[in-house]
Amino acid sequence: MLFSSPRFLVFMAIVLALLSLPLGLRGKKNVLVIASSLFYAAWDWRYLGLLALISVIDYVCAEKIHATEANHTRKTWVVFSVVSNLAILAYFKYCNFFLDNLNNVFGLHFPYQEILLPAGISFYTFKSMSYTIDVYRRHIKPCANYVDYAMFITFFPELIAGPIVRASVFLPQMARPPGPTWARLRVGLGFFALGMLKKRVIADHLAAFVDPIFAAPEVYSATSVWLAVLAYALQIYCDFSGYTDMAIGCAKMIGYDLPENFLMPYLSPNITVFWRRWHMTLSFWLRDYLYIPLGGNRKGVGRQYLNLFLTMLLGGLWHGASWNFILWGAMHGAALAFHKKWMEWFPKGAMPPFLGGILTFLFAVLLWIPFRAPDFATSVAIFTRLFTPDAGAFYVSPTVLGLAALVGLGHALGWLVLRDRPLAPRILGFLGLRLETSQISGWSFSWAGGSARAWFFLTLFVFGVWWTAVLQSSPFIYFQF
Amino acid sequence: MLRIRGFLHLLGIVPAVLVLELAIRQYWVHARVWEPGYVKIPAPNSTSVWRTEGKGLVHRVEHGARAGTLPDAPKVVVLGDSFTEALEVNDDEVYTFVAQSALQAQGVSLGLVNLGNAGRSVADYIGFADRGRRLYQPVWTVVTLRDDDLAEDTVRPAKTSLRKGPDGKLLVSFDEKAEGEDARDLIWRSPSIFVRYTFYRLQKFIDAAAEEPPMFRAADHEGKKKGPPTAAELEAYYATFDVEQALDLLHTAHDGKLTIVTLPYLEYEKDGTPQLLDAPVRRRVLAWCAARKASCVEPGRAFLELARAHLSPFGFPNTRFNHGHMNREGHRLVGNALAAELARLKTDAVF
Repeated sequence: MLFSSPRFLVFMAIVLALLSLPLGLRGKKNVLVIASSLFYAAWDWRYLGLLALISVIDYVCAEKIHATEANHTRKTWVVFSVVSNLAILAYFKYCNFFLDNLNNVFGLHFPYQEILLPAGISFYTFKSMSYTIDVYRRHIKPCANYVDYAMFITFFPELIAGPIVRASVFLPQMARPPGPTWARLRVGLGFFALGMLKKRVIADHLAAFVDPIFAAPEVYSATSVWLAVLAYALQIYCDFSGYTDMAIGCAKMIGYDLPENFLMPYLSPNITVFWRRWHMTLSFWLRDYLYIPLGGNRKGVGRQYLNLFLTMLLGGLWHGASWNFILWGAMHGAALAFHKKWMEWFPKGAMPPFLGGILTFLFAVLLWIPFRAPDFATSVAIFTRLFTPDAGAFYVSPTVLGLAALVGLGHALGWLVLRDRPLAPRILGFLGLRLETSQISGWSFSWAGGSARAWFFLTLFVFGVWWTAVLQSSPFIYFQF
Repeated sequence: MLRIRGFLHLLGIVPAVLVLELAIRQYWVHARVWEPGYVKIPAPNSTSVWRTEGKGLVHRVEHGARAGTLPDAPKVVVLGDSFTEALEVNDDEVYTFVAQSALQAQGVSLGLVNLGNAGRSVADYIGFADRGRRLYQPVWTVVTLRDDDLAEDTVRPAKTSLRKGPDGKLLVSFDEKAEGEDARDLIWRSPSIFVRYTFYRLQKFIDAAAEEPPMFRAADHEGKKKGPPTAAELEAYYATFDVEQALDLLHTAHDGKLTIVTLPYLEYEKDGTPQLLDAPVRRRVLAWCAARKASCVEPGRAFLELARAHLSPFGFPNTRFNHGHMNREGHRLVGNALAAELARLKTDAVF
């Protein structure tokens, strides 16, 4: 059930209606657990058991860890939790990749396993693991009961593709009763509408341009392939951040805050900042549960570079079982290590932030090629085409240029907001919008209402999206991870 | 004061709707009407603006025909689906006009009446063959076909369709109730393009929602979507359609005074080399043409030459390259090929 599908809109309306009934805190939590289970089962009911298994394992492990002060026992349970989660993830996500590589390297003949990747497995296993690790580290106390934990782990707005919410962020919020209020709906709908615009109007239109070129780069000219690569950079940003906005919006309508996941990453002055602004919840997860346990920067400069490289390598592998993702992660890891070295050489910076921003953007854009290409050979074909004088079909879509301009305008507004310029609320106010900032979820806008002008722009927005949105449901890119 | 506040939303919404009405008129204007005893046709004497795919300004004359037919010349009726209706290109770019102009340049005066109508198939061209004759008394008829016009589109129950009778022979079936007017057509008659386009989008939305994977078993659905069908699967699928019998019926329905135009598709090899898609129906149509010595036009060679120049007869900058309907170049090539065939027939004194 995609957030942008009519089914989901009906589902969400029913959930909000149920949560507005006087059911009490406990009753509303039960509603959310059942609704989240239905949401997951709507994709395929057979994997509901897997979600239940993971949640039971980690709930029990956290209880056992909390129940004892004996370090050895605590460690045993946390290791059991981590190994269980990783084993499940490895089986469903990496089994065929490893078998395929074993077959290729050693000439073996392990048969291909018919395993269908459960939706969102990479996200909920990481979320569940971080819970037991945080309990082990004594950062949080375990949930009071299984329903609370089940609600945390299955919470449908972020179940399939994040943001990867920490227990320390979510569990304290569960003390307040969920349910829609006018204030929650207004803010939530603002996030949701922004997400819908990013996904259905921008990302899906860009996909129509990008997909055929990535499928057959040999047919197109270098100019077209360059444009497709740039368009993909915008597509994946609008697709994933659009999904995140919708997830945050749904959670807000229900009454909870989810962490922000994107902070205009393409305006980053260097690659280190880029990774603090792109898929932030995964970056911070990798930092806290992988990079720091590996030693972080505490074991010397050389080891720090290695840790950065390994963290990003595994981050790449997290995205998918293919050499393309490993290459993508490795290159980003190498770039992060290089940037650290660069900062040693030039502590005050050797180039203006603007130039650094352009180089960072270009680097990120070029590395989306192996990320998007279906296989290694296609990645090579696209790279080759980028630097081959024009020979193929020249195909440049004015729609893409228009959408890029729209994203640019959005970034300009975001830049004003982040720098706290008074022009930002003035522009939003003129459009009948109100700036909404939240410590956890970042910034967005809501409809201010109360004036004819606000109604005017709301009508233009609603019909503008309705008239221009791509109507065929296409899955969010990050659903495959 | 409270009363004024209560109307604030109207003060905002009404001007916004007016702005949207003006905006959509630059982008999309289209109307279809039901012709009693027949099917829905493009509204006669109307103008269509079509910028959702390509950029076409289309004028209609009586009976929903496209403007631009030579008035004082023997008529050739051209039947086809959306590829002939060609909302994506202007009146002087559609292949019927290109062919008529090319013939005129050669001194052959023929008025090509474009009766293209999106969604129609060979079942309509057989079942309603007399319509063109009755309205225009043509000396010749041209039917433009693609694979689906002789396969999927001919068996849809809600449309004019071809069904096998008890003796195995194909019969035209026409469901007047399904093709006729209903409540939704009131919206199509609305003077507001804002209302029409919103409704048009709603219909598209409902169609798209119907294609969503089944609840609770999406994995099975995804598993089935393994990729495009193989050549063998395509052959097996198209073998179920009696293409040759349908073409015989079509030929007979137009008293043998018929040219068939087939539109081949282009595909690209792994190294980017273009080639014509070896579609099973296309192959059978060409074989039927050869066997019956019928008048047939296939601009395959011209399409290939265009593709070698890194262009495609299909697709537009605002949609996809080599995908969807024919662009101006495609129409030019088809128009020239059709003109050459009609000139040959004229020279041979066939009409």
